[in-house]
Amino acid sequence: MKSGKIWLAALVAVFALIVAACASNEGDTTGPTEATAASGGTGGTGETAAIPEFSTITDGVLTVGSCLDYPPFESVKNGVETGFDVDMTTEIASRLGLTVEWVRADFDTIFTAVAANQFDMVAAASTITAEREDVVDFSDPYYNSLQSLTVNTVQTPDITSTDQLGQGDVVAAQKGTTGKDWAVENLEPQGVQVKTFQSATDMFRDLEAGNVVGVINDKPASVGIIADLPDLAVVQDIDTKEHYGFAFSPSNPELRDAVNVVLAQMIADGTYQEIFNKYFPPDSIPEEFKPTA
Amino acid sequence: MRVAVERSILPPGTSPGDPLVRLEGIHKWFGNLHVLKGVDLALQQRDVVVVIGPSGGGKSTLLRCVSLLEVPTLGHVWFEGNDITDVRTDLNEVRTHIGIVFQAYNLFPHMTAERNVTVALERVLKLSGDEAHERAMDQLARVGMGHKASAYPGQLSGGQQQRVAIARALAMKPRLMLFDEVTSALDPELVGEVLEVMIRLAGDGMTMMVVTHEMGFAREVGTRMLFLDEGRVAEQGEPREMFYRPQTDRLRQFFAKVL
Amino acid sequence: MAVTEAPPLEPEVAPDVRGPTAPLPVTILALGIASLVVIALGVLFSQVNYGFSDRVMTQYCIDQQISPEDNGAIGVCNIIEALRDPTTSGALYLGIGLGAAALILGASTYRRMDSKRKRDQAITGAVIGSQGILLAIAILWFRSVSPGLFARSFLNFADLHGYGGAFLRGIRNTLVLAFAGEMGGIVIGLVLGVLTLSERRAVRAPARIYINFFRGTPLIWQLVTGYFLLLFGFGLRMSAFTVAVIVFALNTGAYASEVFRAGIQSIERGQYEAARSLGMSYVQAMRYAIVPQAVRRVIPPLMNEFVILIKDTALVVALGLVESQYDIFTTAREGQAATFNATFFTVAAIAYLVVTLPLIRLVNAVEKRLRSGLVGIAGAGG
Repeated sequence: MKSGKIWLAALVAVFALIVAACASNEGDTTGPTEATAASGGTGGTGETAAIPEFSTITDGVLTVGSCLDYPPFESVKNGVETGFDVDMTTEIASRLGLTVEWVRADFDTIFTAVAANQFDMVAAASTITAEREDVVDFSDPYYNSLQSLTVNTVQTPDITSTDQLGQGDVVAAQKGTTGKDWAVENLEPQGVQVKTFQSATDMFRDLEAGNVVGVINDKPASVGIIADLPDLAVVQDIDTKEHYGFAFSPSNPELRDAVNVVLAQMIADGTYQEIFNKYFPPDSIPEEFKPTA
Repeated sequence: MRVAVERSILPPGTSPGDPLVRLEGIHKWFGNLHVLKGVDLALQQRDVVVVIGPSGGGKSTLLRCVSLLEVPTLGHVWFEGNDITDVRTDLNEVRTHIGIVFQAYNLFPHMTAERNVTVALERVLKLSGDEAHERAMDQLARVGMGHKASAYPGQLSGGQQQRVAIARALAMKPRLMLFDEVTSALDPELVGEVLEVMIRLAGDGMTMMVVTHEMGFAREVGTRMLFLDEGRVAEQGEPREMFYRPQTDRLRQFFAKVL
Repeated sequence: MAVTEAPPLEPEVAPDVRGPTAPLPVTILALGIASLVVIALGVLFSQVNYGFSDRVMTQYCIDQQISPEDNGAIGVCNIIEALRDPTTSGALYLGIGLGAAALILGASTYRRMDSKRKRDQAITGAVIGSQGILLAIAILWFRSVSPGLFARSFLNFADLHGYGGAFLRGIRNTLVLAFAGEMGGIVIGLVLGVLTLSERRAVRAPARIYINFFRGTPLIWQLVTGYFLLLFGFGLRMSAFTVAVIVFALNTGAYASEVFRAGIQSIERGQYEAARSLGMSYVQAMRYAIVPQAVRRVIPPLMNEFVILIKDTALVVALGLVESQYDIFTTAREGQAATFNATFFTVAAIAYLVVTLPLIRLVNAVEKRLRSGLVGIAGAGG
């Protein structure tokens, strides 16, 4: 009897405490932890705008979400992350006094993930679109891109344009990408079916096997992925005038602004050009990314 | 077109004097347990051989060897002059001539009493539906279960189930019937109805081998009795003789315990 | 012989011996139930009230990061404002009070009660009361953290307009995948199960290897690898949907074979011996005597396997599918990718529950009927 009553009293006391705590706790506890502010602009010619104070999920670390299967932008070779986005990110991070930690994620949920602060930033060859702007904040554009059609030249040597596709044809596109949206908008009315994939590399494997007649995907990445697949070739440019940006959580505008400042610096002082030339032909760098003389 | 298998009274190639079943030098090991240690036995037509003995003595094993439900480790079994221990034997065909009734009845619970009887008639003997039905109802009536033909085993008492099991075996028109302690699992008041069927069967001239504890049956109906102890035939002879004048100490001890 | 009919079975009603009741235990029970009812009604009432009224975006909602331009923002705002509403608060605190009263009264007095019924009522009241307390605390905790973020992500149903047809199609595809996979699996499982019972090692071993392989590797690996294996290894061009059905069948077959084997082995040996003694061959004995009995025993586990398979079909999201082939989860995933609204996943959960819950009830009903209905199936003789 006695032990029963003590147990009961303890239980009620615990409940009362919890109720009191909850009633008074109206604070919002989401959002990144406070971190040390980065130092201002370090050397280099050109404009030296002040880098705003920002914070990251983990102090001193820039946690970056990416698919890491999208050469030449981001992929993993011999256990090391390489690619255009990778080099850009590493440079940006170091200028902000941060190290980089990569987190592999699926593309079709990557924006919701960064908005929910699963990482600080997304560097995944992501096109800036109005719909995405509703969910995340984008940095300034850092790359100009376009869509393309890749085909299997051994299975279908005659196809050179999407105009030739119609009823009964199946093209592949990746879930959540602008390529998929383009295919649905422009090819489905022609009677083409769009087969959606979780990962980019799976699409090209399907094309290799002849299961689909073409892949709609960002051109530079298509070129990068099919480098080792001799049967496949990019046969058509689809000029959708896309721009890639880094994506951030809307609750962290300071980080986005800081990255923008650093990005501008990198363009101005020629670092951008260096990285660009490493991955893409030197003669194709757009005007707006050339260093200021 | 299904042709019913002809069931003659005498097996082909034998004369009335030959034994129906002959067991020679039967040994059986279960793992390292030597259960049957050299048994010889011959059954003539119309014999009613009763096998008694202490449990674990190998009675059931011996009975099951006759239709090769247990394969003897050593020794031969002849049925109607054929060596059925030869691997080339079509055992399924041989078994249609040997009926066996089990202690646990082993009726098929998902079939009615009648279906229990007809399933083998149709599938094994290839009788037509009508022929099978007719024969089944006939056999069920003979064991006094005609009115329960559409009952399921779960709806029948133990004695009733066992009688259906007997009907099922008899419907195949076997030349030999084996009974493996068929009343041991029954409540005492149900034993009588089963024994009644068996006595009538013996009276009709069926060759039977019966493993049992029912001494009354042995005395009244048995033509020969075997006392199996520790895997050997310790004593055999005419049942009444053995009851009143047991020759061996073991048999005397056995009778002292059970009678 | 006299013809006797079995007497008709009349279910006798056992007398209720739990004893009389008294005002106190009834009160305790009532308090407990009341706490739950008050909480549920209070929350629901506020939600409905706000939902049907002409509300606008409030500053609170904006602070909770619901931006006014979002599709369905007002709906979401209503949800969280209703949670904050004094009516809801009142209901929650009242519920806690009632629950606490039930709990304290019940726990401290049940021992002294002299009849079973009184005790039952007191204990039940205390238990329900504590459940009410926990529920209220959970809701209070939830609304004090960041209900806006959660509601905006998971309770914003505005974007789902127009997806009704898509989800129905998703349900259809899910069921087709699961059903076809299960049927194939049953056939494969029956054959494999019988093979594993063979006396010959040469027959058992390959079956064992197959079973261990499909039980030992993850289903998602089987799906992805199976797709590319059939594609490259065998040069078979088929849609991912067909491949998924095949893989599900192969996988289910491995599990079903174990079920069949256990089912067959659970049939007493005497049944087999009786069948063989009537002259039936091994195949005939299995077909007429053993398997029909085993089937009744394997139905409940196989139906359970089906329910599990319905959920496993979500794994096809890893394969490339055309829109008409999308199952529930892929539909949700696509919807989320298009609108960045995770409410699609909420709807997906509801869709799966709509399919599985009735099935689970059906399985339980079938199990009960199989066990009680056919008397005598459970064991022949004795």
